[in-house]
Amino acid sequence: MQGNSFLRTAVRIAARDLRASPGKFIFLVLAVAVGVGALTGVRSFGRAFRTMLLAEARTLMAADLMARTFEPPGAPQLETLKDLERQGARLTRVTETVSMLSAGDGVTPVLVSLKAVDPASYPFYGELVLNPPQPPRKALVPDAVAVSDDLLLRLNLKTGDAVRLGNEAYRIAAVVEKEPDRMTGSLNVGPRILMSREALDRTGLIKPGSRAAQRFLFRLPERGLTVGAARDALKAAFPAALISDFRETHPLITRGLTRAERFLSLVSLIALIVGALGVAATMHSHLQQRMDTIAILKCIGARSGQVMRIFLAQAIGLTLAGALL
Amino acid sequence: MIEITGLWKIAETGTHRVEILRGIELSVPRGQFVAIMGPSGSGKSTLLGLMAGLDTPTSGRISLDGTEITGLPEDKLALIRGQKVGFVFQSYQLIPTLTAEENVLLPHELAGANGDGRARARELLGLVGLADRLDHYPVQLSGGEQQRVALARAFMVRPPILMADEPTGNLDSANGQHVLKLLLELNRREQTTLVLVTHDRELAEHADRIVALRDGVVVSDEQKAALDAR
Repeated sequence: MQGNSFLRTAVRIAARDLRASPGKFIFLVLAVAVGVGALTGVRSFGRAFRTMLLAEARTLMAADLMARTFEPPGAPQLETLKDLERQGARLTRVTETVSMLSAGDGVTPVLVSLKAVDPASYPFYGELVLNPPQPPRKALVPDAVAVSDDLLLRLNLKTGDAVRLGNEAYRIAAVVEKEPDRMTGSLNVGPRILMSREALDRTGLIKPGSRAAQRFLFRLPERGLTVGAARDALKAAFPAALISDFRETHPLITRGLTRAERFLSLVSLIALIVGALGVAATMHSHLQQRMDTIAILKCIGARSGQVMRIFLAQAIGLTLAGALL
Repeated sequence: MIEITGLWKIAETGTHRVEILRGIELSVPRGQFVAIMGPSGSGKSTLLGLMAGLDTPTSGRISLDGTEITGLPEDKLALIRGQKVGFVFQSYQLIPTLTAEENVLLPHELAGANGDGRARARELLGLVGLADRLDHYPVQLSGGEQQRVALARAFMVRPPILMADEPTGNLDSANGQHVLKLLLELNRREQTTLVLVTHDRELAEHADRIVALRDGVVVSDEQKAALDAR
């Protein structure tokens, strides 16, 4: 007789009940709002945290996508690289090798890690910080290198001094303070020597058969070429290469990210439970205060379903108001 | 209208066993005004609660207006209460968050009856002299006024039976008289069967019949004619 038609009455009775003591209900609505707010707060914090971690992950790699191979690229491989560039990806090459560096006669040469970059485009993410501060393009000229400070300590050198690599002399232009993709680099034995690609060519160290790692760093366009697609193309062209993208840069970072996500989802879950408990407790105390009303309602002929509907309408109304707030 | 046979109510609390009602037999014909009297603890309020289906008897049967109510599920009982029984309590029992008019309107809305009902609510509030207090909340009304709102509410859906439990018990004599007068007037007007529980002899004198309870049994049952003759 009155299934749905009572719903409107229920809403009306519920609304009247709310209207009588607006102060208390504002409090209730606020309580719900705080609960919901806490939940969404944790959620968006989690999202922001993840975005930040991902951005940092890019920095740790200095690129979106990277392929590393120990062989110089052949013609079909160069074609693949060109093709990716045509699709909007930007490419910079990094060559890494190890060599001996001497600081003059009578001083024992030391094993160093050479890293040749194109200072015009490297790095795509993060920053190469030199001391004294200067743009990499200025410092990394063909007859200069930037070195890590442990080399200076070991060989008792200072900025401006000359060192020899291969057959050529180089000036120490700066100390490398910060290098974004240090962790993902290969052949990190001995102090770092950072130089331009032209400077590396001058050394004459890279010849067919040299043990050198080629790293191709890509910055992918905002839209169009996806990480997955670029990755697949690289995989096909460089079957022997190590290919990784920012989502898995380094086991340490990947693990950290997974852990952070797990932790944050746990936090959101707890926030959800606490928030739900808060709302439930508020509604429960509200209903406790309405026990007399419910008893009267039942006395004058209200069925359980009707009482339920009245207070359900109220609970939903309050929760919606709180959530909207 | 109301038929009660072999009604027992026994309350058991752990070690204690209290026989509140012990085999009540009572038959109230349509339109009768019966007063149930007795000292406190005689079981009169329990009897009223059972008649209204607010409580379940240990044994025995109760039927209201031809409907057996013993053993009915709670929701059926509520429906019967809504249709057949109006209530007036000693402590008014208005819903504090609703205005006088909304309180009176409530049984009508709960019954899902057709029509607005507002006109009848106003008419009833007018009859109890509260036409200008429609928008007042219970706390803004005096005890006598609250009880008059409760009277209007009790008659709202034209129930065939009205049950009143010490309706003047919380009121001073002037207000009590006023409420009683209104109760009797409305009762006559609406042709209801009225069951009034009281320990006030003076109040009971207005009834067609007085049933006296003591220790859970009916000790006397006098008709108005007999009362008048005395």
